[in-house]
Amino acid sequence: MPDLPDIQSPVPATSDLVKAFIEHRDLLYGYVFAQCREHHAAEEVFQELGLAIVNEAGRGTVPARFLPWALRVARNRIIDHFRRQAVRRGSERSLELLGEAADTAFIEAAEAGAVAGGDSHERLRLLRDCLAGLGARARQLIEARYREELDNPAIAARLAWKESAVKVGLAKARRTLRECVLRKLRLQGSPS
Amino acid sequence: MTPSDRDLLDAYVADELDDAGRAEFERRLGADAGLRRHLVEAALVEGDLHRLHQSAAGLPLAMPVRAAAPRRRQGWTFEAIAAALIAILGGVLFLRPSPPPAQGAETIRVEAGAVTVDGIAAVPRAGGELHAAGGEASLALAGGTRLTLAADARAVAHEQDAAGVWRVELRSGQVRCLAGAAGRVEIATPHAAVSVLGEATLLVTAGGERALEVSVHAGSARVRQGEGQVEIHAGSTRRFSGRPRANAVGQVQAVNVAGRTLTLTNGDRREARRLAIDAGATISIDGAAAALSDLPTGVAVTVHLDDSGQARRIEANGPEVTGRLLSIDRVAGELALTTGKEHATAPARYSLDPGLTATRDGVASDPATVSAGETVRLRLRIDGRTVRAIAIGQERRGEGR
Repeated sequence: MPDLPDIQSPVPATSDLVKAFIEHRDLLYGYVFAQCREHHAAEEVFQELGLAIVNEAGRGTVPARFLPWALRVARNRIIDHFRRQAVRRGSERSLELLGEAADTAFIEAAEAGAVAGGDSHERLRLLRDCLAGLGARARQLIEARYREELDNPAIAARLAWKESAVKVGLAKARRTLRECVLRKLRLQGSPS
Repeated sequence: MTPSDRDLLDAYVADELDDAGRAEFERRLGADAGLRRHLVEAALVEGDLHRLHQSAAGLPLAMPVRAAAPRRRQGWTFEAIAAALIAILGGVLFLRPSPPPAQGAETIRVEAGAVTVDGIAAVPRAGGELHAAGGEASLALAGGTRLTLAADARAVAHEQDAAGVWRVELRSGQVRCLAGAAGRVEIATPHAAVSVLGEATLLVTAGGERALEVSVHAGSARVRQGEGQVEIHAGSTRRFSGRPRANAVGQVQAVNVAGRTLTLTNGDRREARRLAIDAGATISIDGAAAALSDLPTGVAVTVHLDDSGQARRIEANGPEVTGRLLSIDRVAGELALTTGKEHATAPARYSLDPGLTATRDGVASDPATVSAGETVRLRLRIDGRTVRAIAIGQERRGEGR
């Protein structure tokens, strides 16, 4: 898939493109993560995406619609990233990207004004509040997964739980946090 | 969202769907706008969780830009300047890469309220972070400290804190630091923090995720890693292993001391795994150094592997138990705990280790202050019956690893 099918004119509009990137950075990272489902890979891809967009901005690229264009650039970066990784490691991780429906999801979210760059600090603050309200066990699971980056077997060994219990517990903790953040955002009148 | 959609979404985010599950998830996604919205929300919260736990200060997502094609030597291109200006106004500065020659590397000067590039173009600063990554580049910080990032180094420079300390996250690569007498700087790598003590010259190399090398040419520096710290003085170079990943976990099925192998079984996975043990491997049981022959069968271990797959560290720690403290009797040396959140379970009784320690919100505390009614996290010995540490409240970053 070509990266730049939406170019209308070569009029330099560096500021708009970079501003749009900054404005949508959380949504773009969310998209990259949703496709990679692995944070380290998502970070790498996101950096490559940032570089690509800044380069395009320098060339004066003006996409007709920023987000669909940026998502396509991101999709191509994800494919490239995993292809390179496969070559380096001599083995291929099966990466099946979600199709159009995922792109639609993120475009819809942007159009609904659900996410903007400026909300980032606030969302993190709300998430901290929600974490503080989690039960001790759920917090332990979240700490082990996100701070210590342990996988399910390691967490199970640490807590003397079954892996299946860790899996269920993490899913439940994530869901609780998600619902809590959304509830707080709604109370604040955010469109999320 | 139906319960089955919710389960699909949870499994997708956790990367636990097989091909068929993913196809089903995608099909449902195409048909259900609500599920699409939930996917976005889940992805955003995942990103936030990751940021919150991987960035000490919970900073906004860093967007360092890595080296691309080499460019001309004569300062910044228009595009780079333009991008940087826009980015600064947006709160982020992209430090563009420069080619290998170190002479006359670009200088980004950060003073209170202004940023200059090679001495020109004072740019109003909107209070954003300075994110620097890429090729050879130099940061001149107010207070007389200069940091030079080597090619391919990846770093993020933060605002000077209230105490006047500049903090630079060196994610990988090398930085040369010339700290002035008045300059205070901390270079944080993924696994340790290097504080420069007054006037000093040093070279800090973060070797990917696993190692740190600090070479002090003049003055002194302090390296903090976990709960330990060490000072390095002029003429010395120290290397630190990073926090190795927990590559293998499981219960000890067999130990072959002569053959230096360890066989593990793993929870829900039934197959056993035999690991070779490096000659210099360290073994600890409940935090204390131990011999390989001390490892009892059945105990849960975490084994850190080197790149060749050999065990280089084996840690056997008892499980953690969380619950509400029903009673604690220091004279009898025991406590009772209930673990149910909504429905209290029957009390479980544990012995207190003579060396019992306690923390509150990550800070060491007198175990005598622990009292019934508190929610506690018990770190047990490998016997599963003896409490060696009690934690109350939240742990601080870096603890409990």
